[in-house]
Amino acid sequence: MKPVFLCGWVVLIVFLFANSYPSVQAGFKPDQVKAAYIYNLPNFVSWPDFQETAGEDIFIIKVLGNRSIARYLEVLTQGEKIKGLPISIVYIDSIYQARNCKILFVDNSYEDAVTDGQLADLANNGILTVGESLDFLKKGGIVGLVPVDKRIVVVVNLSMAQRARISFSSKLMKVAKVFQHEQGEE
Amino acid sequence: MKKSFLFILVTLACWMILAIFRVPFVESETIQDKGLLYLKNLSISELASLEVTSVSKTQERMADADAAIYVITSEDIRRSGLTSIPELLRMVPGLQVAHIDSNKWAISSRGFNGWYADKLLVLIDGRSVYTPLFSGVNWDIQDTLLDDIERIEVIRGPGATLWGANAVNGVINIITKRAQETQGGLLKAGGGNLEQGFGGLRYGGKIGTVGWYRVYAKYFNRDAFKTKDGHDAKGEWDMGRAGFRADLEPSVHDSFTLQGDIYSGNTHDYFKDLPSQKSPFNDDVKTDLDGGNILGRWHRHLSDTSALTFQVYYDRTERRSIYIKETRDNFDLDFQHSFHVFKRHNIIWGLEYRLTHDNIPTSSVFIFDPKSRTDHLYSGFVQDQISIIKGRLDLTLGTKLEHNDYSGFEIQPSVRLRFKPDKYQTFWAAVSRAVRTPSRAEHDMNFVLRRFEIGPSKNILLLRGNRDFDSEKLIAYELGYRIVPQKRFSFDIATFYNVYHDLRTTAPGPPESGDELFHEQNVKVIPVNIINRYHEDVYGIEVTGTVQVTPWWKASASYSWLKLNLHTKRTVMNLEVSEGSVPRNQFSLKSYMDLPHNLQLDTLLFYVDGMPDMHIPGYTRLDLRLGWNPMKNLSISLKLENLLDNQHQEYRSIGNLAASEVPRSFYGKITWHF
Repeated sequence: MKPVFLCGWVVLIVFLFANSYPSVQAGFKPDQVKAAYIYNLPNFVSWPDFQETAGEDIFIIKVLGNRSIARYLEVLTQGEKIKGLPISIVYIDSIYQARNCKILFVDNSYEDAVTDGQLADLANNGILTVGESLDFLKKGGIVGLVPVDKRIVVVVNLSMAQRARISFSSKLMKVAKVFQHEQGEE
Repeated sequence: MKKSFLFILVTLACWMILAIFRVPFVESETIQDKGLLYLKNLSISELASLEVTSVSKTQERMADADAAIYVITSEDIRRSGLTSIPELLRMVPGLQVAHIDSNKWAISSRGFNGWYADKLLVLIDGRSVYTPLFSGVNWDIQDTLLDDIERIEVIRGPGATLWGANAVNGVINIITKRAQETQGGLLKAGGGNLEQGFGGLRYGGKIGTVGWYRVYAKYFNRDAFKTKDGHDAKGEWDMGRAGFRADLEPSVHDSFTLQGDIYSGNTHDYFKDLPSQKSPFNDDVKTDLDGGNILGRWHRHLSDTSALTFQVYYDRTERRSIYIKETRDNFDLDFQHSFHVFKRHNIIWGLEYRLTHDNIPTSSVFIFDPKSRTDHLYSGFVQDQISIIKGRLDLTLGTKLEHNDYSGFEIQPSVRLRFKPDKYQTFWAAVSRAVRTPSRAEHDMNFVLRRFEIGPSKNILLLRGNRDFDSEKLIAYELGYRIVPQKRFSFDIATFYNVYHDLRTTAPGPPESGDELFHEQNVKVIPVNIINRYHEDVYGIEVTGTVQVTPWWKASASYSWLKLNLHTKRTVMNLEVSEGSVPRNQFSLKSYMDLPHNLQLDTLLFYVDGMPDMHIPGYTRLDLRLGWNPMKNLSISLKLENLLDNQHQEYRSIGNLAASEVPRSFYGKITWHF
């Protein structure tokens, strides 16, 4: 039995060392920064139908397909309010669960599966769609959190925002880039 | 040999404790939370100037999977209007689904279909529902509130490296929604000619600030089918079920799930000419079904590339009729860990222990020796996904090693290669070995096939288990291609060539005295022994395509072709291995239309080839569903099934079980969310 024990402990030790991930953080994780952006967005966005639907008592942010971002958002929004409303973060994994929210984040792994028609439909319902690429904006998404040289840049699709009757504050527009349709070609 | 497994378990325990204590040194919640709180206080222009690390995600997209995978979504469940899990599986290409009678299905993947199709593993939220008694799935007790199912993932082909033995031709993972996603109330009720009455109630709420729960109850009562000549074929059944699920997320890293169900119901069957002489002869056999399960799972997110999962469950099933009484307790411990090393290696490994204890009293037709048995299963697996060209070419190597009390050690390795020429296309290829381990019945069963008297001696034709019965083995070669371009269209093709060895069959043995076994005088037993003999090749193609024709119309079509090539002479007893016992061609179509005035028109069409060896002709089935949402939280639907014929047979009669035919049926349903 002894050699077996020895082998076992060698395996154990190997696994322990194999498991040493680099613990030095060179910067923030993209998902953390994206969550912070999403958390900040409502301060710079106005939804015209907010008055009409005064009956709403909760500000819902849905996250399609990215549990990390959903969790970061939960931490960021804990005990906070947006436009005077308590916040609910809902993780979903199908575009068909995307209705009934103010902001929808679409993970890039789902961008292919989401159609132009669905994005237009969401815009018609006043939902601010947030994605991670220019392709997403090309399809009809409203805001892109796009990685450019190690940074995450906000890109806005103004025509789709108009369709959703969403307007952005000048403060956001100073930082954001405006999506031009030619940009969609990668 | 068991000691070494004990050692592995102890090592696992030590390692887990170490892993858990190591976590704070690697990446603590406080560091992450501090980081987030720092980000929270930044202005939007500061966010824009922040540098980020680049980390690849471990999450796999379905479009990138290196296996033949098909997902039944919650949309499919809602819009198909189908009322049971087995019926939903009809839409999966490469699966053979046949309704035997009202409460029984024969469901298999890539051939070998039967009442107890033994090469398909089924899991509900990580809990195996494959029964070790006869090898197979008791579909009559696999259910939940269908509205709570998030998706059903069906992987055709061997999944043994990750999922373990018996995942020979496929794995079905039924995954329910998290409690967060089922908040509020749902009430539904309906009925029709076959679905005589059903109802369900669910309510979900919050547990403090970090948790969610839901509770549900459901009931259904289904009518029997008819025989070919229009007589009542029995098979009516009803079942009540209740359950709960709680999800707690006390920190960004940890999630806990606790869930459970209990159920009670009964089924009826029509048996002709049973061989029993001792028991009261009865052609309407009632079976009582009771059971329950409870499962706990802890998932720890260590980093973006690493996670631990620990799961434990207990499951009890009871099945009682005058012919067989079985009580079974399963207890299972499961541990998994995934992490990245050397940038290119994505490793996942795990360990599992399962205990199963049963008690099967002797009846007039079944004698199990021993009557009660406790079995242990130990297993471990490791899989390494190696990124050869980042984002383009991956090689996945893995193996599972397991030990069971019937066939001893089993090794089930696999090699998979995936090539992605661009982000829309995936080519994949795989070679895997999988085994179907012997069941309790194949080892210990004595089943009375027929009793007859010649002079003073009582003769019994006995189907008999064999202690030397070994695992059935498969080497599978698979090749697939999938394209999911940007818009509106996806296409998937999978091909396979499966080589099986040691498939089960039966052989007659020399007559012997059965006085001891039956506690009677002058009993002569003519045994029919279960043995490993067949060698068979199976190959086939499965194709599926989906088109979003317009924003309001989505359509999808699937086709599969299957060929069996048995190299050994077949005996009468083993119909499921024969070429003429599987539908060679199967075709299905589904269409979901959103019409004006909140109306939905959904169509399902299935064509299944005939099975000449079973004398079952091919059939075409058409289903329609009309849905209407008069209010946001109210939906009303009407479902018509099997519109094209009065009734048709989908599977042969099994033994003494009378054959029955699936009738045309309809039901109406109302669902209210509150």
